[in-house]
Parts: sequence; C-alpha cells; structure tokens
Amino acid sequence: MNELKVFWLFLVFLLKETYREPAVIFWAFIFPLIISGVLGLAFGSSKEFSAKAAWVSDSPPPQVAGVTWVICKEKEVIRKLQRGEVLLVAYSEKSGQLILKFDSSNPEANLASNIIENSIHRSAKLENPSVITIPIKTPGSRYIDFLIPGMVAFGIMNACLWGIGSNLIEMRTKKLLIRFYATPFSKNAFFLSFLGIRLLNVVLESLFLIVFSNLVFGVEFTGSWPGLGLLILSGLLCFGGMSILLGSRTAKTQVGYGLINAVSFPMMLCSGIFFSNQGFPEWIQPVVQAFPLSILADSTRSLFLESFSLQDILPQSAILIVIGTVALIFGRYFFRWI
Amino acid sequence: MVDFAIHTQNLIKDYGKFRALDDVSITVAKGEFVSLLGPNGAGKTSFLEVCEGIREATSGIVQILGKTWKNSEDELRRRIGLSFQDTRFQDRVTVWETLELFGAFFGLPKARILEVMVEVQLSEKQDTYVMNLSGGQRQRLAIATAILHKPELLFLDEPTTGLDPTSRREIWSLLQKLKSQGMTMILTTHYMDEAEALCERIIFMHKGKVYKDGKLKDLVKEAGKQSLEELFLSLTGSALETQN
Repeated sequence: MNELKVFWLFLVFLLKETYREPAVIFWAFIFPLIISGVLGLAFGSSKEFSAKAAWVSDSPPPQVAGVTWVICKEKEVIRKLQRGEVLLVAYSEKSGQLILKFDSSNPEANLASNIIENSIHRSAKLENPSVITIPIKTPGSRYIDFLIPGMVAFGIMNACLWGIGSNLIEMRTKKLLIRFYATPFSKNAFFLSFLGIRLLNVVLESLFLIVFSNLVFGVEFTGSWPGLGLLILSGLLCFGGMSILLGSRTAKTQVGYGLINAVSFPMMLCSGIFFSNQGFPEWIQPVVQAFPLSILADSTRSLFLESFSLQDILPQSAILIVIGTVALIFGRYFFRWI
Repeated sequence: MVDFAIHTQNLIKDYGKFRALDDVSITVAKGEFVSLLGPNGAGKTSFLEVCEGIREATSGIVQILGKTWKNSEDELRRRIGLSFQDTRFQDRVTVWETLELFGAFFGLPKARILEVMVEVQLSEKQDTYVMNLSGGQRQRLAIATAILHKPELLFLDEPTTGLDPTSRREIWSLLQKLKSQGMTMILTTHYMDEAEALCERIIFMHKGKVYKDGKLKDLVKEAGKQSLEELFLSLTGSALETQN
C-alpha cells in the first residue's frame, strides 16, 4: 500500500516538475501540431494522390486524376528525375502503347505508375491502351542517387546542430563552461575548436558515405571535388554558426534540444533529403527552397549528378557562408558561459 | 603596492526585484583565509560570483588585487583561481588530459601539471577516466584545475559538499598546504567545522548583508559561545527573529 502511495506521489512529483516548465507545453503540444500541419500541407492537402510526371511525346498526355504532367524534352528528363521534380517519365509509342519509366525502388513512383496504368486501362482512350513499365536502373536516375547527396548534406547539418549545439548546452548544464570561463580561454578559440572537430567528422562521414554508396550501389560522384570541399566548408560554417546561436544561452537541456529539433526537423522534412520537396504547394516553394539544408542538398545533388564545377556552386556556397557568418556573429554576441 | 586581495564597497546586486547583495563592504587582505557563512539565500554565492567576474554588480565598487573586472579581465583571469561546487568534467577523458587542457589555457609546461598532480595526490590516477574517480578525487581535480597557474587568490565555493569525512579531510589538508604557501583564499561552506579548521576570519552574511565580520576566536568569545556552530545558530536565529 505504501509503495503504491510512494509511486503515486513520485508520479505526481514528476508530472508537476515536467509541466511547470513552460517549454514542455510548447514542445509536447504545439510543436507536433505545427509539424503535422506542415506534413499535411505537403502530402495531405487533397485526399487524392498527387504526383508530377514527365511527358515527352508530341501527342497530348492522357488525363489521369492526381497526376500533373510536366511537358518536357527528352534531354531534360534525366535532370528532372535526378532533382526529384518528377516521379516518372511517360511517352506514347506510335503503336499507342504507353511507356512508363521510373525507379521501381521509389514507392511514390510505383504508386504513380499504378494509378496511371489503372486509369489508362479504365478509360481505354489510347488506341492500344497497353502500358509498359520500364524500371530505370541507370546510375544517376535512381532513388539512391537522389538520396545519397541529400544524406551528405543532412549529415553536415546533424553533425553541427547536435554535435555543437547540444554539446554547448550539456557543457553549460554540467558547469564545465564556467570552468572554461574562469581561464583565459577565448570564445574564438572555443568556437573554432568545435568547428574544427566537426569539420574532421563531417569530412570523414561524407567520404565514408560517398565510398560506401559507390561500392554498394554504384552511386557516382561526377562533379568537382574542390567544389564538394567548398560546399562542406560552407555547410559547416552555416550550420556551425546556427548551432552556436542555438546553444548560446540556454542551460536547460529540454529547452535546448527542443530548439535544435525545431530547426532541424522542418528542414529534414522539407529540404528534399529523403523525398522530393516538389510536393509542396507552389506558394510555399520559395520558403522551402530558402532553407539552408535545401540549398546545401540541392548543390550537393548537382555536384553528384549534374557534374557541377567549383564555379557552379559558388553562389550557393556564398549564401550558406553569409547565413553562417550572421548566425555566428549573433551566437558569439549572445553566448554566455553560465 | 596593493595590500588587499578583495575590496568591495557599498556593493549591490539585484536580480530583478530581488536584492541579493545589499550594501556589502568587505576587504580581504592578501594571505588571509576567509570563510563566508550564512544560511541559503544569504548572498554568499552572489558575492563570490561578483568578485569572480561572473556577474556584474548593480552598483558599488569591486576591486580584485587592485584591479577592476571592467579594465583588467584578462589579467585577473590569470591571477585568480575558481573552484566551483559540483563541476562535472567530461566523463571520458583522463585526469592527465583534463589538467593538460587547463594547463594549455594558461600556457603551462607539463612539469607544472605533474607538480600539481602530486600536490593534489592524483598522480596514480593520471590515466583514469574522470567518470571512474570518486567524489573526493573529482573535487581534488577541480581544485587542481583552479591552482594550476598558481593564482594569488583562490575562490572556493563549497568545495567539500557531498564528500565523505575522509575526502573532506584530504581537501582540508590540501587547502592548508596552499594557505602555508601564502595563497589568499575565500571559502563558502555549510560546514562549521570546516570554517573552524581552515579559516582565521569569518564573515556571516544574511539577507544580502554582512551580519558579523571578525576573527573566529573573537566572534566566538564575544558571543559567549563554545563553538562556531553555536554562534552560527544563535546569529541566524536572532537574525530571523529581528526580521520577524
């Protein structure tokens, strides 16, 4: 009986301790609503499936509910697939057959193919309404080719936000920062050490991923290696600066981790890492494309798949460097050791 | 030639509407070992933090070794040492690595690190992870990081809280050795026996004010008490009564 009472008292104690922290209310209740809203906007704005598909024939494309045709030329198709702008490519043969090409490992592309196939069979508007599906196996056009560059970018973001931001908060919580403050250790040296160790980690992680994906999946890196180096540095500065800003003041892990999640989670979902962000409505595209992770992932993808040179990625690198520098300046200004 | 280590005058520290330090004027001479005593919320830690340059005073004068934090922060960081209550160093680094890092902050040679490890009796533990140290050993490591650069003034915030009697005695012995070397020390503690064993001067604080300040023997004698603990209880009791 007493144990039950202790259990109950402790439970209430924990409950009070937890919910007396205002941040918990936000992270536990409001934040999931925001994320649900964003996801709903991206994937649930209509009850029907919606996909973009490339149409490369001169004849008009068939009407298929849920499929938006992007009329394009043959030479544009690979680029659009690589960038995730379309899920599949379709064209009609002179015989009337409809050819669908897509990466069969991509579930969304499979679903779009099934919808088109079913619709064609039902309507039978084409002279000979048979549909032939051809899986794309060419390196550069598969889901894995889309995924790996995104994962490189995602790795840079994660290494910084969690490796620097959460470390700062933890060290402040453990009163280790105040120990550093009691010495002549400068803020600049302190931040540079963090960025330096993350640079080493990020380079190793990226190389590991590139080599692994090449050996196992045949993912090829076709662009400029110095360009990749510059992108890694720019990404590190960008997310490193953001991490220092995020970890600049709070001494509460719940608040700090919540802040990091608030920044990283939307970018993870909306920056086209695991799936194309083309599914978002047009009006929100400028916002989504302006996310630092979107910029980094798209540039990395261009280096991997479109043979971009060092010069080609200079503008994107410059944007990341500017974001990082501004965040670093504010982070350094707001930073406190206790 | 400045002959005091700490000099504060009409020191006020407010946290919003709460006044943590109320017109505090304290002078600590070089070579003194002073204990700050008082109940929780008396203002001891606030006083230390203002003197340590961690927090800024709302008003009043704060001079440390004849310098102000505003004008001489870098110099003061090299001349004072801080030992905090409950510092948790990174778990998976060794004693040597920890001291090496702090030594590097001050540009100290390895010989000095070895010397301090002997002084704090952690030589045998130099390759041990911090997470595998006992509470007393961790606290000695914390003091070691604070004295590596041979500070002239050492701030000790409850250095033995939570330690077993043996570990406390080891810390006392270390602090007495430092005292014999002429180091000025200011200590906050809740243990009366600690203040009695280590410090010749006691400052009682209550509600952000200096309540009593004097030599240990004089204070006890003046109050007609047998021990510091009795004196503390009578002082804090009467202080509470006065408020009520």
